[in-house]
Amino acid sequence: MTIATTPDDMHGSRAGTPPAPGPAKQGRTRSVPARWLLRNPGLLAAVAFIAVLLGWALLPSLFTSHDPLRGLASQANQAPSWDHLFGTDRLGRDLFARVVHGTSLSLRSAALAVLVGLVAGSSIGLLAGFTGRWVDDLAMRFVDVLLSIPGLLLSLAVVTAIGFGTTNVAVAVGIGSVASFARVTRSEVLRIRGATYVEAAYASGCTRRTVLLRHVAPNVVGPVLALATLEFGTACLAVSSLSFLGFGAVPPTPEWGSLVAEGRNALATSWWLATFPGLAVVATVVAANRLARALVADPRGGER
Amino acid sequence: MTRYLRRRVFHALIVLWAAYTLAFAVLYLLPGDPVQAMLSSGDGPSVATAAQADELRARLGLDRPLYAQYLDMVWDAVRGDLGTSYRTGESVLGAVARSLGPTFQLTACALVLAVIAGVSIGLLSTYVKSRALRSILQSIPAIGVSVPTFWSGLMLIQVVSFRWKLLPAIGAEGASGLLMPAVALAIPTAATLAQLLSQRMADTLNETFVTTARSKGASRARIHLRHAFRNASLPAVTVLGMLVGQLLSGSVVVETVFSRPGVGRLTIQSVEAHDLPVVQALVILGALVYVAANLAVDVLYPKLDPRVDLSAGASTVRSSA
Repeated sequence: MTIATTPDDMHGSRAGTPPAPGPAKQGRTRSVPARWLLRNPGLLAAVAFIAVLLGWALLPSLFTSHDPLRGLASQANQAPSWDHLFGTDRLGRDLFARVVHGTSLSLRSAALAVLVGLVAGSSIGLLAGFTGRWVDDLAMRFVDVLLSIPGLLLSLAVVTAIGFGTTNVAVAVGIGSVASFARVTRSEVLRIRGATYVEAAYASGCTRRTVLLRHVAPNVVGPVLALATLEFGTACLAVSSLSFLGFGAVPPTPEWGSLVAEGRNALATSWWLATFPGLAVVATVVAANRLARALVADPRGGER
Repeated sequence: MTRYLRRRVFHALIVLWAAYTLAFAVLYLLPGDPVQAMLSSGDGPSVATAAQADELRARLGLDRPLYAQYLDMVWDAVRGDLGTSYRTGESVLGAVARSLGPTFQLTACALVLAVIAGVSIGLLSTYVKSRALRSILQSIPAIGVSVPTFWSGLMLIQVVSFRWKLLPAIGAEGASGLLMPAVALAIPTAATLAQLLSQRMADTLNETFVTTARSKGASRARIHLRHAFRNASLPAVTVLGMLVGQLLSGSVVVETVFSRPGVGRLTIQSVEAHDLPVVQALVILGALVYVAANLAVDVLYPKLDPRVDLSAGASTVRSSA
């Protein structure tokens, strides 16, 4: 991201001033990640689960030998067992295989949603925080309006307009999260803009552009990434809700939300069908939130 | 006070108008053709001819320039006419008004449950002395905010209705039909409230006035309830608008899971049918609820916190959460 500098912002030249070390770098040596992880068993479990999830998403066939789309009619409606960890559905498809193969789609949708919110929201926030005055006012009124509409309703309106499907659902959920990214980015920019080291950088002759790229941006990244992790959990919930409601993945494709929707019809007879895909969502969101909390608390994730 | 009130109401109206405009922009400006979607919804690709599509477009008034559509809609909305539903042909206002009752019942019930559960857990998590119990009480909200409402609703049905056979799964009238949906709806809100409160309680208990109260010999319970809770609960009040919005969002899912009539059901039916006027009205309803809740909080806040003086002018009580 580049922000144009106006000529009157060029306070002399940078020649002779060594690049001031940004405070972002100080924290890097403060804690050894491994030791820090071991002191937090809950966090360790969260990170381990996320690693497993990534494995499921990238190489699903390593974790299950069953076919997620084709089942054996002879093995229909089986309760969980060693052979079928999560049981089978009425077509004899292995639910564990369907959950594992659905990971990729579920995580990708949530990640796309976060990306949309991150790019749009932090652009608005950066612009508002840096430009100030009426741009700031206008942007923040826009964010106020976005915040006034409950997230799911806004996403549903977007889906109504652009049509159903996983990608559209992800974009719609992302639009619902623009407001929080904009607010956090703006408040971080404002906080950092007034910091002593920014003043010092200006005083030692840095241009506005240098201050933005070397001092402000690196310090905004941490808190915004912490928010992105938190929003990932929220996006996961929203995407799976929209899929459950039938606006996301089309039935044979496994996706956590739509797997729960499929299991809903067999709630009285096959309890496992709705239970396990939902548990996958819960565990993912808990893990993402735990990680987000650690990122907020850790100095590298911004001091708050 | 009245001047302050008038300014706040004016501000609320501006936000509503902006939300209306945003909803219009989302529904009518974003790429996507509702007419094509309506004609092809059902099985497979569109079976309608271009002529049929044009006719439908003209009938719905979608062939006119966008600014004309927008100005007409705003003018109609100001006069209290939110258009007619594409799907049923009835007035949007009537359809929405009819669905309000059951949803109001559900969300009000859920809000009460959420406040009771959220406050109890939030208070207990700082009150209990046992470390183990405390960490359990603090992890309950963390899990609560991570549970998708559609899943907790289904799990409730599965256990309470099918396993224990205590309550009918769907279609029950009165209180017995309201309990499970309200519990499912209340979980995320209760968890949010508990997290907020427990954090504020922890902060407040470190304040000097708590030390003063303790040194005067006040009991632990008295310090927690009379001194800390009163201060810690104020920020929780300011997020009422967000919580009510969360409940309204949740009702979309809960009403589907429990096959209940209401705003949520109407939302799903309208989104499925690409019924733009109804979806737009529902978005505005969401904004209206949020704005009204915030307005109520702004007006009531000085009554709760005497330190806030509205006549001083620039006091907008807003949460940062």
